[in-house]
Amino acid sequence: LYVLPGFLVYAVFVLLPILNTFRLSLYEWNGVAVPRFVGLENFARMPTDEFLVVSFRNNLLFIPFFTLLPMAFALLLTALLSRRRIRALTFFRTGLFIPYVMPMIVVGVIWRWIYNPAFGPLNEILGALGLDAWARAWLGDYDLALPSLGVAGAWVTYGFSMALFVAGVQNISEELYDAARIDGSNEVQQFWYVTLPGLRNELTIVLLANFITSIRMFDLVYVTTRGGPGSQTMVLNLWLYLNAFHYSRVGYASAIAVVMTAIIFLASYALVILRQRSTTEG
Amino acid sequence: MLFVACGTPAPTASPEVTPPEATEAEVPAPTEVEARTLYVTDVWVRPEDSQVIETLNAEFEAAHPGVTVERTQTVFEDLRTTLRLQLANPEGLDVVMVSQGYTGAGQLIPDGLLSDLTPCAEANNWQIPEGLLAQHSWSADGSVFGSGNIYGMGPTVWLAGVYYNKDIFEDVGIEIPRTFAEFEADLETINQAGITPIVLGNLDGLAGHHMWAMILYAHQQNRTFADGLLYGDPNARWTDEAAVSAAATLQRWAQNGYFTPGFEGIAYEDQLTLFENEEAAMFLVGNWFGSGISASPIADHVGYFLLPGVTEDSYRMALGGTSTGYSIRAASANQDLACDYVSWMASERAGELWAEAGMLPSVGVDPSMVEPGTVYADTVAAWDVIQSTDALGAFLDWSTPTAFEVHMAAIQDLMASRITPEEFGARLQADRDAFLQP
Repeated sequence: LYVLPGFLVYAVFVLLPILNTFRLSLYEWNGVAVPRFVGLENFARMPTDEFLVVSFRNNLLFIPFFTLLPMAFALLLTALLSRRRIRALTFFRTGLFIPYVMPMIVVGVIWRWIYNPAFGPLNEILGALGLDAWARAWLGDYDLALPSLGVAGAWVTYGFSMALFVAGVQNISEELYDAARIDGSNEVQQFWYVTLPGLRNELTIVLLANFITSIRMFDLVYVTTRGGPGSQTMVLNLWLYLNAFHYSRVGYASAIAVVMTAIIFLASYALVILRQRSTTEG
Repeated sequence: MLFVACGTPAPTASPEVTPPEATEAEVPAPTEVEARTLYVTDVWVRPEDSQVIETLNAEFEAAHPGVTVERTQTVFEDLRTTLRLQLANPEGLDVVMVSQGYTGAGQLIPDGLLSDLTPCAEANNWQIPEGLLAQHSWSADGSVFGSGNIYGMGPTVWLAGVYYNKDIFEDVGIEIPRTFAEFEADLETINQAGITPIVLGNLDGLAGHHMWAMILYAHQQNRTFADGLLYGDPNARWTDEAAVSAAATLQRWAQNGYFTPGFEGIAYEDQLTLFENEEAAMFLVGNWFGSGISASPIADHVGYFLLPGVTEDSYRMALGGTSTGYSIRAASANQDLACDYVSWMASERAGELWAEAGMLPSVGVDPSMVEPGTVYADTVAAWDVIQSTDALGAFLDWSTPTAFEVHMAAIQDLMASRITPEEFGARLQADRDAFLQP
């Protein structure tokens, strides 16, 4: 009974809208008129929707930038920052964590400036290093726009990964490190054989959370490229938004949302199963 | 479409309208005046524009005892996403602003969400030219755009042309071109002198799309093709020579290096900064940047001309359109009062204030209000030409509900030479076909 008030709020503001989205995905609706039931037509249309197919591809391409890249970087930082005395450690930790607490809109504006070909610092630095040939119209470059945004995304997500890893390391028993030292292992070996296995849980959580962030990507694209150049950076969430709010195709947008939910759910489920299996076997 | 990319800053808290009670109280009311509130939302967020509305609202309240105008401002983009729900709300707004074309009003009229303003326009004798009202006109079922009932009133006019740096023109020894061929020759001359001919920031595709439309309109010898494209005539096609050759011209300019280097990655609103820093000789854009240019340090060195036509005296059109229009919510209980309000926004007094703010009012500009030799004077002169020859075009992405994204993506592909002008036309036409024959 104690959970009832909480559950009511949850039901009204989370469960009902989710169920309603599922229901609407079977209708054609412009947001005002009477919805028309169309069965699975919205889903059947998807493979022929070029923007949607491209968005799907782009979301897949973004995944490594949101998962592997920040996790690798965060692990490196964790190895550097934990288990040793560093002056002003808190300062560094906080500083490195700041990108994660910044709103994505702000992140987008910052990176749009960094990448600006006319007066952005990135091209200026390249110029100062004599690398003018490397200067690009980053966000307007057909091959580099997506990786450029990916780097911005990694810049945001590594902070979260790092925070979890640093906390995780503190839970690893000091005895394991002592034992490793007595066996003559150096710092790299300690990290590889003690720290990394000890962070399995954190790695799973970070992987999952960052994966979900990449699928749900919206604000970063919205304030920088809006899907351009061409449709090189169009993502599912932006296409959903355009359909729902600009083209008044609420049913179709709901169907896209359902597909995205399914992707996230299935991927999470697969990851958890894999994780459980490796635990029982190991 | 416009405000999305104009980068107009969000308004700081606008000054509260002083309620007229103080003055009204002294006037003995013959009968008890009924207190009424008119709920209005608009997209005039720039401080100069907002001030015009505040003044007009205060004068409207003074002329209508007992009436309070409750004004809210919305950024254009937000209005587009929430308008449909606001209009459907039975307790909602009385007067709203709606963008034109199939991307805007065309999605609301079929659901009966907007009032027909035709009787209001007649009763109040709006002094707005028919061609401008056409951009807010629809058949009653919302299927035919460009004629029929009036559903909106855009108080000002957007007109795209060429802002040019007079010093650079003098340095390289060129004058205002009289024909399109001369204009292209000038581009080459400027480029040879080692100066970027045209400032461009095409990160979102909008600036390139406008430039393509400007080239297309400059080549029109009459209104038939352009109106056909916009108002849904199936005989006018994006694959026609007129649209494709404009695309070819734009692609050629990009290949010749006439635009700011790295334009693909520069944001729309950065263009003004680059032009102010004299990084390019010309800025092909609409007068929505006019007040920004007038306020810039190089204002005295800037002039404005229309993109020239094929020959010196040939008819040509220009990209532009009425500003986002005032409309009345069909279910509003204050139809009469709302009509008075919209008519007041279409009045000569409103035109006067808009001209003072450096805009082009739909009702026309009183010549005595224009300071000769300024960039605003050039703009007014250009508008006179376009107005007197009935040559104002419209924004081409009004043509279908999905046109905006399709056009912006295609224009970027075109300018990066990833598609041919023919493929560009075919892509736009595919979107149009899907809309015309669903």
